[in-house]
Order: sequence, then C-alpha cells, then structure tokens
Amino acid sequence: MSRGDFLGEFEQIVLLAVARLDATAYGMEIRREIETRSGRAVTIGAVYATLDRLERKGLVQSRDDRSGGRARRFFTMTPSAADALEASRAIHARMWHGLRLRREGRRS
Amino acid sequence: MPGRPGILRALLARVLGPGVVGRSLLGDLDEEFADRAAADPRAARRWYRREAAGVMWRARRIRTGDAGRSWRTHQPKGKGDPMLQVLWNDVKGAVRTLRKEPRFTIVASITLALGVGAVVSIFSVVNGVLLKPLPHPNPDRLVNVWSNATGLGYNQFPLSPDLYYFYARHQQVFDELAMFQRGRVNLTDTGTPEVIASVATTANYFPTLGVRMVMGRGYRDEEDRPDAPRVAVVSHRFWTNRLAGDSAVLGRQIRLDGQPTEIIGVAPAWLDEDDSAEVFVPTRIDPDQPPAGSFGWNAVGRLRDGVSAGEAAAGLVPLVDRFKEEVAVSGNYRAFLTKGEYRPVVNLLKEDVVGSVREPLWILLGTVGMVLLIACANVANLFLVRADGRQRELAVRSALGASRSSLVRRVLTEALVLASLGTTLGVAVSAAALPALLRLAPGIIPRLDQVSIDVAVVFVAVVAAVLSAMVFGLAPALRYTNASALGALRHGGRGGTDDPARRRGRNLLVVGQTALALILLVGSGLLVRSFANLMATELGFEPDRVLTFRVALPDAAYPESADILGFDERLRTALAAVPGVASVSAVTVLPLAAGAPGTAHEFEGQPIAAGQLPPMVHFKTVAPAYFETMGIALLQGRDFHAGDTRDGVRHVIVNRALADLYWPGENPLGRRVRLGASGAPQPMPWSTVVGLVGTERQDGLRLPPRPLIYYGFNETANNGTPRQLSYVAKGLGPSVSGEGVRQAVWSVDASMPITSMQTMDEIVDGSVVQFTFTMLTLGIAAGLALALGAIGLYGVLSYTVALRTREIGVRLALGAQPSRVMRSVVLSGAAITAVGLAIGLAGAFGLTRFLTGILYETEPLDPATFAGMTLALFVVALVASLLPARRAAAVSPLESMRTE
Repeated sequence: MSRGDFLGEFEQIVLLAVARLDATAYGMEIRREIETRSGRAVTIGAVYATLDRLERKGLVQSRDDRSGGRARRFFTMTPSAADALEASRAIHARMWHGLRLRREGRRS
Repeated sequence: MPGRPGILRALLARVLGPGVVGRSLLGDLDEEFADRAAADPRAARRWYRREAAGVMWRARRIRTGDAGRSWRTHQPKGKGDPMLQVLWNDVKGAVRTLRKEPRFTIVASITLALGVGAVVSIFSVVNGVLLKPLPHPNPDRLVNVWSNATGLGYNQFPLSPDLYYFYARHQQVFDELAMFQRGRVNLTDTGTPEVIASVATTANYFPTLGVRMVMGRGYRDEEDRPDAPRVAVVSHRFWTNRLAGDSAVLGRQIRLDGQPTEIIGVAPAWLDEDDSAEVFVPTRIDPDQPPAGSFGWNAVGRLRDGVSAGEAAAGLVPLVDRFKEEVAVSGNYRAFLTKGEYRPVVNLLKEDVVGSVREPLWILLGTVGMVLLIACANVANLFLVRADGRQRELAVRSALGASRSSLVRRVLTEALVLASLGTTLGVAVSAAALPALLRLAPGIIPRLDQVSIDVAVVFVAVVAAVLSAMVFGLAPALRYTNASALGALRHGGRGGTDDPARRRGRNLLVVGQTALALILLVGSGLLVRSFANLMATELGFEPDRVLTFRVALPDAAYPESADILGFDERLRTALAAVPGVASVSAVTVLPLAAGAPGTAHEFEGQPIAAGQLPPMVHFKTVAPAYFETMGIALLQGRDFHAGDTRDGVRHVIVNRALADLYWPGENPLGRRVRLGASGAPQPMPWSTVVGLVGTERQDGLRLPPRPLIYYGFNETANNGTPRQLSYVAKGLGPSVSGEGVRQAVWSVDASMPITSMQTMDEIVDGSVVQFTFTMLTLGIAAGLALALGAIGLYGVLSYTVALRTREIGVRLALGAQPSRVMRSVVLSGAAITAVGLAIGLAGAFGLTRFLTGILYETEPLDPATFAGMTLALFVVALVASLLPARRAAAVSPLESMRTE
C-alpha cells in the first residue's frame, strides 16, 4: 500500500488470480481464472488495464518471455501486494465485524 | 491465422503499438481465439470483436512500449480537453442554428436520409452476402472441383465417381477431397410423409468441411460401402425440429426411402447456414468399383497450404491424362475426355455460392452511391443558398475577431450535425425497408439470412455521413468565409444581384446531378428494355392455368417398373377426375428448370466414326398428353398413346430444334434414333420418330432453346423407369385446386409426399426474378435520382430568379417582354441541363458496359435508350425550370423596387 489508498475490488480479484496461478500467470490465463472462479465474463482489455495499474503501484512485476514461440508477459506478486491483500481482507473483516444486514424494510 | 477478423487485428496492433505489451496481448487473444474457433468459429469471431472493443476502449490505460511509455496516463479532469470543449461548443452552436431553421433542416436531412438509407440497405446486403465469410473453419481454403468439356460446349458440370477416386488417390494439392451428391429422400414414420433434402457423401466430407459433430460421429470409410448397414448424420435443424433436440437420439432408427437407417451423429448448427440438407448419408459406392462416366457427383476439397485454386486445377490436369490411359480405356469414354477437351475446374466455394449475384449487387451498390452523391449535391445547394442569407452573420463574426478557420469549422460542424441527423434517419429507414427489400428477393440471392444491420454496416453509414458532410459542407464553408465575401458588411449586405462566381458553384452542382441522374436513367432503361425482350421471348409452351407438383417414388414401395407405371396411370386417372381439370400429364423435368439429362445418341444413317464423339442429346420422358397440357404445338405426327408398347415398336417424339439440327429440311417422321453410340457391344434398340413438336425453353429464358428427344413413359421399362416425376394439370377455369390435387394423390397412395406445388406462371416468373429484382432496385434508384435532380434544378433556378427580382423588374419597367424574360430563365436552365446531359452521356458510355452480363438482347450502348432517356431528362428539366420562369415573367416592376 505504497500510496495508502485502498485496493479496488477488481484489483483484488486480479491480484488473487495472479497469486493462484503462481508462475503461470499471463494475461489470458488470468482472465480465464477469474472467469471460471467468479462466473463473470471479463475482457482481456480490463485485465491488462488493471495489471498495468497494479504494476505502477508496485504490486505486481512483469517479465517478458519468448520461450513459448510468441511474446508472453508473465506476472508475479510483489511482497507488498501480499501485505495490501491482507490489509484489504482485514479492513473487510473489521467492517463486517458484528454486522448483520436486515434485508427488509431498509427504506422505511 | 485465417478466420480471425484480420482487419480488426491489424487495427488492434496499430492501437497497441509495437511494444512487447501489445504483442503479448495480441498473442493472448490469438491463443484463446484459436481455442474457441475450434469449437465454434462464428462465436469465436463474435468473442474476438467484443474483446477487441474492450481493449480499444481502454487503450490509453494499457501501457505500451518497452520503455514504459504510457498513453496519456493523466487526463485533465474537470475542465476537460480544451479541444473537446471547443468541439462541443461548435456542436451546440450548430444544433441551435439548425433548430432555428426547421424547414431547411428537415428538407436537408430527409434528402440525406434517402441517400444514406439506400446506401445502407444495399450495403447491408452486399456485406451479408458477399463480404461475410462462410461459417466453416478456414473457409477460404474450401473449393469445389468441377468438370469442363469445352469441346462439347459443356461448362462446369460435376465429376464422375471413377474420376473422383482417381483424383483422391493421386492428387497432391488438397488436404482432403470429398465427393457428394445432393438429392431428396422420402422420410416416413415420423408423422406425415415428407420429402427432405439429403446429401450422399464420402466419409471424409465432414473433415474436409471442418465439421465437428455436436453429438456422435461422422461415418467411417467402411460404412460407405454398398453392403454396409445404413447410417446417417442428421443436421442440427433436423435434430431440433423433428427430434425435439433429444439428447438420446444416437442409435435411433429413422426410415429414409423406406429403409431403416441408424442415426450416428448430429451436425453443428452452423452447417445449416451453408447446407440445406437435413440428412447426410454415405454414398454406398465401392471405391474399388466406382461407376464409370457418371458425371453427376460434386467434389469439395480443402486446399493444401500455399496452393491456390488455379494451381490446384493445374495440379489435376496430369491426373486426367493418366486417367485416360489407365482407367477410361473404353473408346467412347476416352473420346469423350479427349475430344471433349476435358479439364478440371477448381472454384472457391464462396465463389460458387455467391458468384452469380456478385456483379448485380456491386452494380446496385454503385447505383445507390450515385443517389447519395445526388442527394449530397442537393443539400450542398441548399447550404449555398442558405449561406447567402447568412453572409451578414459570418461577416459580423469575422469582424469580431473570429478566424477564418473557426468559421470554416463552424460551417463544417453544422454539416456534420446535419449529416448525423440524416444518417440516423437513413439507418432507421433502411432498418424498416430492409425486410421489404429482402422479400422482393426470395430464394434468388444466396445467404440472405446473413443480411442484417451490423457493426460493419453502421461503420459504412458513419463513413457515408462524414464523407457527405465534407462533400456538401466544404464548398460553402470555403466560399463564404473568404475575404471578399466577408466584405459584404461593408457593402451594406445588399445582395441585389447574382454574383457570377456563386452562381457558377450552384450550377456546377446541378450539372453533376444531371449527369449522374442520366447515367442511372440510361442504366435502368437498358434493364427495362432487356426485361421487355425477356418477356417477349417465345416460351414454346403456355404457362397459364397449369398447376405442377412433384413426387418421388421410393424403391421400397415401388420396386419394379410395373409398379411405377401402375402408380402413374392411377394417379393420372385420379387427377383427371378432379373437378376443373382439363388435361393431365407427367414429365421428368419441367421446362425452364434446366437439368434435362444429356446422353450419347446415334441417328440412323449418320454413323459415328471410330474415335469420334457421338452427339450428346438431351431428353425427357413424358406421359401421354404432355404437349396438349403444356400447350406445346404438335407440328406433325402424333402424341404418345397408351397402346404404344403393344406393337413392339419403340417410339420417340422430337422437337423442331432437333429436327432442324439433324435432319435439316427433311421430314423427321419415320426416322430412327437410339441411345448410345454405334460400335457399342450391345446396341440399344432403335426408336422411331412418330411426332414433331414445337421447341420449349428448357434451360431458362436467357438460354437458347435446346434440341430435345421425348421418350414415352410407357416404353421406359428397359432403361430404367424414372422415379422422380413432375405432374402437370391444366385447368378449365382460371386455376386448378391444389387441395383437389392433393386429395387425388393421397387417394392413390396415402403415404406419398407432394413437393414443389406451383403454377407454371410462378415458374416463369421465378426464372427471371433475379433480373426483376435488379431492375426494380435500379429503377427505384433512377426514379429517386430523377426526382432529386429535378428538385435541385428547380431550387437553383427559383433562387436565381428570386435574386434577380430587382433586375428583372427594372428590365420589365424598361419595356422588356415578359415572354423574353421567361425564355431567358428557361434557356439558362436548359443550358445547365445540356452541359449535365453531355457529361452524363459520356459517363453512361463508359459505365453501361458493366451491365453487359445482365442485359438480354440489348446492347449496352443501345441508341434508342440513350436518346430516349436524354430526351426524358431534358423534358423534366424544362418543366422544372418553367415554374421559376413563369414567376420571373410575372414580376411586377413596382413590387420589385419595393422589396428594397
């Protein structure tokens, strides 16, 4: 959390996908991971844009690899990303602590 | 990777730049596209488009370039881009101005909407039919293999199984080459009896086309043998419509032509787009003993990488030579191949699907493009006229410090706003009119189901809008913002007379319109003339009051010739008893239907020398009373009758074209012909000519009538009684009741499906419907052009007269005759028109040759059409200038002075 701001929801999801895929995280694979786990359609453009932002924030590192016959960009999490994710989880946990949402009559 | 939207990928590559980020993103997309395309190429393309849109949308947020250069990562917020702000102000101003002049805005946008709507409609047809790829994987590698025998005058006919298997064994140019034959089968035991479209194919048909079964499998080579158990693959359409999409359908038995057949696979939905067949069955031909010289089979191949269609054809040529040496050893067969100059032909699949409509569709697109240009010219004129009135406003703006570029931008923005309005209207018009347009063209344009207003169409509409805004906005923008024009304020803004430079501008536009309108008029005039010629063509038969339908007698229910003949006789008796039926007959191939088979014949007294080709003559088989029912003249001799078989003599009837060709100037009656060539090991028996009839058009109105031999239906027992029959019934009254006919058929065989029930009139209309469609569309475009052109001329002259009111008033006051004034206005209109007509004539001379392929017995430079249309347009122009002229003559000198 170098800049002290919160991780956005999609940023968290992308980071988690990078973490899950470990060494094999490249754009399309990340997209697929999110799509299969979340059940929501995600475009590659959104993934790349988010990865860029995360890289600027120093949360992921990319490395270019041409071994597979074409250019691929693999992503790994930086240590500060783990901190940021943990912090996000902690914030969530604290915000939820002791809270029960009433589903009816919210507006009344 | 073929199949992927190539333009889109190039665009993406451009947006993303050359860096590693862009390349890895593109690579990612390629990878997943390949995965998805294997399952469903069409869905994969859709997916790719969506992804590409997503990437472009975010392009500025995706870093590109290896050095970490980023695309304008920081956007000024709040204030917004200053350029955008200016543009937005311009647009707001333009909208405000246009709202203040509703009449101008409405007329201009409707004019544009007509032009844009026409372009969008025709382009969406061109896009769907010609530009969209076929649904198969890598469709640009798929080809059909045909035969040409120019020595016999036969072009593009199918292959023979023996030649196909020879190709398949030895060819080096295809990855796969499959054989198939379209047909129809009777489907019983699933509700009412029906005839459905079928294809008999070799086992590799599905791999060749890149078809992966939705369920089950295609057949194997060993299932494509004469004695193999019967299996079938059903189409997706068949599966959903007739089997209710049942997932447990594999292994189920259906009855095709009376034979129990096991369903082993379900084809994917995309194949339905390309293939009307409901079931796919094996050919059941033994590859080691394929039928020889039976040229009724089609072949489809997948080109090897790097091989073009032309190279593939060249690669097959040596195989034909080897085939002649090794397989086609019988004298006639080899003679056929050698003297016929047999050559393989390889066509791209898509070319075969849409080749016949390519030319008319591009011509139509060019035509509506001209209509759009004319509409633009009209709007440009409106702009010019209007700009005259706005000169003061522009001069004030200039005096207050507006630069010329800002004024030009302002006028151009107005043009763009107007164009957007017209385009939106036009697309809406087109969306509404498209279904009606498509209804005009049933069954004549392939792939019509692909026609829709999609991204590409909207893109073209936008391009058309921007281009037309440039066309009609730029000239006024430049003209009215130049320094001398802006001096108007100094002169008090009194536009009392007509500035020659401006008049020239307006006149030029009218000249252009007239020229374009003349080109379109001449084009549609040529088509109308062709249509008249086509309609005046001697049919050789009388189509009115004749109802036709088709039946196919399955082997299982009618195994022997005698069964078929018995059915035919009972059916004709039953049909004759239907109230209102005057006469009834049956025939193998209806007129105008093409497809009468041709085969070698020998004419007595005209022996065929060894190594020579026997004459190929087309023949039809008819029941008695065919000529009477169809209204074909019996010129000499007699018709077939029921007793013909009893005297042991075989009879034929020939048409006039045949008699003129083989017995010129002689009496054909009593002459003898037989099937096959002399020297055949077992010659066929001779048949005696007993009748001579008029020549019916067999292959369509545009093709010359063909020499024909008619065989009697009763005499076919020896050489295969036809099982596919068209019945014809002539009515006493205006029409024969279809219901009565159906009941008659079912009274003879309750399980007999009836297909293609239509009147002969419908068949005649159907044979020219593609032509009618082209003619109508071109005619509508020409009418639109004429109307727009006339309005343009009228507008310009009216405006000129209005500007010259004071001058005319002065002249009249000084004693000029009103008739002279009138004449001078009409003459100036005539002068403009004449220049336009001259240019239009030159254009038409150059352009009508593109119509050569469509015209029928009409020269592309037909002088009557050229002269007639020029005169017509000139008369319309005179009428259009008469109204302003009369107004000029009626100017009262006093009033005209007062207008100041």
